[in-house]
Amino acid sequence: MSELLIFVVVGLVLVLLLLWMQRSAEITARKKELPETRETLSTLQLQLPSRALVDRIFALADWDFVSSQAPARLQRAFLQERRAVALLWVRQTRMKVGRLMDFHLRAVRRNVALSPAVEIMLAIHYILFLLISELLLGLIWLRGPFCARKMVGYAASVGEDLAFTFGSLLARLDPVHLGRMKADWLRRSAAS
Amino acid sequence: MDVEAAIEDLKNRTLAAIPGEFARLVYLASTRDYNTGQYYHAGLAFQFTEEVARAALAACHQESFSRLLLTPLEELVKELDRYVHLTGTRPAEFFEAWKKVEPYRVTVPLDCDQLSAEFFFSNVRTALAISQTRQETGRDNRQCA
Repeated sequence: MSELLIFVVVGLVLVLLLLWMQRSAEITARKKELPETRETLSTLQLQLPSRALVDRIFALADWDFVSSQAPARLQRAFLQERRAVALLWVRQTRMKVGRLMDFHLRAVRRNVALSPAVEIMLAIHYILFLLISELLLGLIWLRGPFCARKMVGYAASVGEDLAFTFGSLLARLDPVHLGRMKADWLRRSAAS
Repeated sequence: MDVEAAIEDLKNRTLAAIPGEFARLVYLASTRDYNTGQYYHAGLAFQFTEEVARAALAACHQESFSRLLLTPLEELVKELDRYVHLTGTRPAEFFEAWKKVEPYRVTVPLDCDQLSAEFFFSNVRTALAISQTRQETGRDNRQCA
């Protein structure tokens, strides 16, 4: 019985891995649609901070410059400032991704025929993103923004993948219907 | 199409004559009415329309802000030094005023998100502190010599 359970679990993991790989390949293939996707998310005020901004916030070059040019007092002040901005990025990105998920659950899922594989992948990406962002908050708070750069890159990629998937689902909707959904969402956002 | 032409005109005639990105940002922000957030430029409005002029100013303001936002800190310090020199103010007075009044806060475009604004403020504060320290160190060294 226990052997059967192990086989089932291993099989499930393999299936999930395959779906993940397939999804990643699809995302890469459809990156060309990104400008439209971004525009749609932007009108819904759901766009994530740009990658260029994220790279700048966590750029080691700034720390190298400050540590070589400024006295210790300024170095401490700079690290404190940059830590606050880095934490703000994590919180805002998490909030935006949470709102994307909320929008998906409230509006899109009722209107787009989604395959279970897509739903599973979205859920996995979302849970993964939440875990990484929690880890990042702790890491940045404890060790500063410049010690978390690899994880930041990973979190930004997962966030972008999620945003891309949500944006692609939106792009598949009928424009008239999408317009109604946008108006409804923006009205609800303004009220809350 | 008109907006594109107005942007070109603004860049070629006005902005090209302003040295430094910081000075351009301050200039563009100053063409905005602080009460309404609307931009106004008499020459551009005369040549095109008020609406087109507004759109062109807003676009150039956003572009200038984005450029400074993504500028490495080392370059930002240089930009700030250039701006201090351009204003003709005594550096000590400039740093005192900018630290107390924080006029750089009004240079942010209206639709700027919170993260970008906070990052920009933080960078300007750091650049100001570094630039001021350099000025003071330079002055002390000159006095010792």
